[in-house]
Amino acid sequence: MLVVLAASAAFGASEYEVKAAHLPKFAGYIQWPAAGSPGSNLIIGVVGRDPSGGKLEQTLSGVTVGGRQIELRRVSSSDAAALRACNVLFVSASEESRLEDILHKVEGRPVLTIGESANFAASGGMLQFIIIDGQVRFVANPRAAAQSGLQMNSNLLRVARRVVGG
Amino acid sequence: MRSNPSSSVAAPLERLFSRAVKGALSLPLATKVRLVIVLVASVALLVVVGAVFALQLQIFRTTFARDLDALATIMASNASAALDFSDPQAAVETLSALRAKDSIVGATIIGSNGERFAHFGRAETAESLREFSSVSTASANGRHWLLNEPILRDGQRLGSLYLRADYAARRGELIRGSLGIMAAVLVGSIVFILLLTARLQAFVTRPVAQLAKAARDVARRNDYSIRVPKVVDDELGQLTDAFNQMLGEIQRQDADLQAARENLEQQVDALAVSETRFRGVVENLGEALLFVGLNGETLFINPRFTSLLGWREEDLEGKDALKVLMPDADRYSLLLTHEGANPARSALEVQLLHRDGSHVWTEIHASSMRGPGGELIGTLAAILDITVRQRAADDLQEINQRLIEASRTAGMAEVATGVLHNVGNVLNSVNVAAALALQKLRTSKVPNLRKAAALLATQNGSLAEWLTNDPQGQRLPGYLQKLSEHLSAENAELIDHLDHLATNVEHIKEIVSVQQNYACLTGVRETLSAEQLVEDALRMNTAKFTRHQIAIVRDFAPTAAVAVDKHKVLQILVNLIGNAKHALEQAPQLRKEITIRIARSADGLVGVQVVDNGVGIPSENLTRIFQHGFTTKKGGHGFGLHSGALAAREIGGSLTAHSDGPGTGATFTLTLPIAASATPV
Repeated sequence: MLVVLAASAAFGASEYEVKAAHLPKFAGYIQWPAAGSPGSNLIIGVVGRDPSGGKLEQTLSGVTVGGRQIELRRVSSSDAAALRACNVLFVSASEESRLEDILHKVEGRPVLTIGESANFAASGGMLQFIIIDGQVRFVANPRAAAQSGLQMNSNLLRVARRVVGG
Repeated sequence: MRSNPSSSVAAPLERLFSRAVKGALSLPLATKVRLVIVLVASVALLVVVGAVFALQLQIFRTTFARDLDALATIMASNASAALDFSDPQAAVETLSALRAKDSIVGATIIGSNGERFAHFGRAETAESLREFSSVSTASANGRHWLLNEPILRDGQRLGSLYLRADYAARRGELIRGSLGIMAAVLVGSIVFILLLTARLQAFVTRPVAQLAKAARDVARRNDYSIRVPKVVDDELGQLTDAFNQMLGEIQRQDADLQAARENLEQQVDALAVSETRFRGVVENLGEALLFVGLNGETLFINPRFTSLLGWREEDLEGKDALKVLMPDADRYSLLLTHEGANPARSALEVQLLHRDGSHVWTEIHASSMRGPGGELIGTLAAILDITVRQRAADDLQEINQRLIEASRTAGMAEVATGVLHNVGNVLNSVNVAAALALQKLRTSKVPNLRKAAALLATQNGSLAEWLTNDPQGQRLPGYLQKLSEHLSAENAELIDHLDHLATNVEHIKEIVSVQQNYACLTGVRETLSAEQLVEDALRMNTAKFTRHQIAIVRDFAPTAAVAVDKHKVLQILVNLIGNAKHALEQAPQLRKEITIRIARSADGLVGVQVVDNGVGIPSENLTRIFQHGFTTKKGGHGFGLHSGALAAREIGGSLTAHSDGPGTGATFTLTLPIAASATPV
C-alpha cells in the first residue's frame, strides 16, 4: 500500500493524493495524551469542500495506521462536537475565512489540526501543507500542538520545512 | 645441490647470538643483575602491554560494532519521517549529521521500492549496494564494515539505511596511537627500572663485588692475609665467612707449602750434588754399565760401555742390548735363566760382540734393580773387561802346570817328613815299651832261680833229706813258690809290654802303608766309634803319662759312629795328646790334667776335644801353629799340626785350636764326619 503511495508521489501523483497519503502518516508522529488518544479507529475529519474531488476517500480507504482503521468523516465547521470527536482534522482551503472559529472550537482538545491555507500555522494550526518546487511539504507548529496536549515527534519536526509558533 | 640460503644467513646470526651471550656472561655481576632485572621487567611489561593492546583491539572492535549499530538505529529512526513523507532533502539533512563521525564513509537510504532515496558521503553503485543486502548487523567487508538497518514506522518497514564505515582506518589510528603510548610506557618504565636498580642492586651486588675485589687482590698479590668484612647475614654472609675461612686455611697451607718447598729445594740441591757425584762415578767408572728394562730394552749405558764395546747409545736405543751383544740365542737365554734363578746378583763370563765385529771377553755382574716401591724395574749389568785376565789365566795355566810338577816333588818330601814324624812319634812309644821290657828283664828274678837250681844240684843224692832236715832246704820250696809267682807276674808284665810294642810296630806299619797309598789319595774309610779311637791313641801314650804324673779325664758323651781313615785319625790324636803332654811337661803346676771330651759338634759332626791345663798358646801363635814348619818344641819338625789339619780336612773333618793365652791351657778340637747308617762298612 505504502509502496503504491510512494510510487504515486514519484510518478507525479496529484497534490491531493500526496496530501491524502500524508494525513494518516502524521498521526504516527504524534503522541496523544492518555485521555484523548485515538480508539480502535483513527477518525480523520475533513472540514470544508473536498479539494481532492473524492480522492481522499479513494486514497485512504482500507489504510490502517498503527493497526487502526481510518475512519474518514465529513465534518461541518459549525458542529463543534463533531469537530472535537475527530483525532485528525483536515481543514480545507475553502474554510480559510472560518479558520479561527474552527481552531477555536477544538482549542485545548487532543485534535491534530492540519490545514492548507497560507496562514494556517500562523493562525494556530498545528500542521500546514505547503508546496515547494512542486513537492508537498509542511510547516509545523509544535507549540500549538503542545497547547492541545499533543506531542510532535522530533522526526516530524526534522522533516517540516519550517517550524513556527516558537 | 645448493645450500639453503636461509642456513647461510642463520649461521652468522647464531655466531652473533652466541658471541652476545658470551659477552653478557663476562659482564660484571652488577651489570648482569641490572640486565636481568631490566630484561625481566621489560618482558613482563611487554606481556602486559601486549595483553592490554590485544584487549584494547578487542574492545575497539566490539565498541566499533556496537557504535555502528547504535548509530544506524538512531539514523534509521531519525530518517524514518523523511522517508515516510518522501522528503529526500530532509533525509540528506538527517544523514549529514554523520559528518561528525569520521569512521562513516557513506550512508544510503533505500526506499521500500528498492530505489535509492537519499545518500550521504560515498555514492554507492548498484553493485556495491548488493553487498549490503545480507548484512543485518555490522560486518567486516574488506577494510570497511557494512550495516543494513531497517527503517521502520509503527513496525512497518519503510526502507533501509545502509551504513559503510572505514574500520581499518580507525583501527590503524588506534594501533598507531597505542603503539606510541606503549613505546613511551616501555621506555619510561625501563628508564625508571634502570634508575631504581642502580640504587637497589647495590644491596645485592656490593658484598659480591667486595668478595670479588678481595679475591682479585688475593690472586694478584698472593696475599692470603686479606679478610673480607662481613656486611650482611644472608648466603653472601655465609659465603664471606667461608671465603675468609678458606683464606685462613690457604694462608696456613701456603706457609706449610713454603716450608715444604724450601725443604724440597734443599733436597733437590742435595740430590743434584749427589746426582753429579754419581754421574761422575758412573761416567768415569772402569766398569761398563748397561741398564736394561723389564722387556730387555736398553735404558742406559755409560761412556765406558762405548769405549769397551764400541756401541753408542743411539745404536742400542730401544733395542734389546743383550741380543745385540750376544747374537747367540743360547747364551742369551742362559743369561736370562741365570738371572731369573738368582735375581739378587750373578756373574757370568761371556764373550760379547764388539761394534767392529770382534769379540771381547767380559765378566758380567747382573743385579736386579728395584724401584722406590720395591718393584722390579730392570737389570743393571756391570761389564768387566777380562781380556787381560783371560790372557793371564792362560799364562797361569801354564805356570800351574809347572807348579804342579814342582809341588809333586815337594809333596813327596812333605809326605816323607810326615811319615817320619809320625813314625818317630810311634817309635817313642816303641822305645818306651822296649826300655820297660829291658828294665824288667834286667831286674828279673831269673838268676835267683839259677841260684836255687845250683843249690839243688849241690844236694845231689841227699835232696830229700836236705829238703826235710836242712833248714835251708826246708825253706826252699816256699822260696821257689814265691819266685815262681814273681816270675809269672814278671812274665805277664813283659807280655803286656811286648803287646804294646807289637801294637806300635803294627801302627808304624800302617803309617807306612798309608803313606805308600798316598798316591791313591783315598785311605780306607772305616766306621768306628770315636771312643775306641781315643782309647787307642791314649794307650800309645800311656808310658809318658805315668812318667809325668799326668791325669787323664775322659768326658765321653754317646755319639754316632764316625766314618774315617783310622790311621789318620790316630796320627792326629796321638799328635794332639803328645802336644798336650809336652805342654804339661813345661807347666809348673802340680795337678797336670788332660781332658778328652767327645761330643756332637755344632755342625753335626762328632767333635773330639783334647784339653790341657798346660802353658797355653800366645794369641800371636794361634794363627801360626797350623803353618808348615812351625813348632815350639826344640826338637820338633813343625809338621804335626800342619799335617794333622790337612789330614782332618782330607777325611772330611776339621782341626781347630783355642787358647786364652799363655798359662791358660789349650783346647784342640778335631771334628769327624758321622757314618751314614746306609754306608756299608
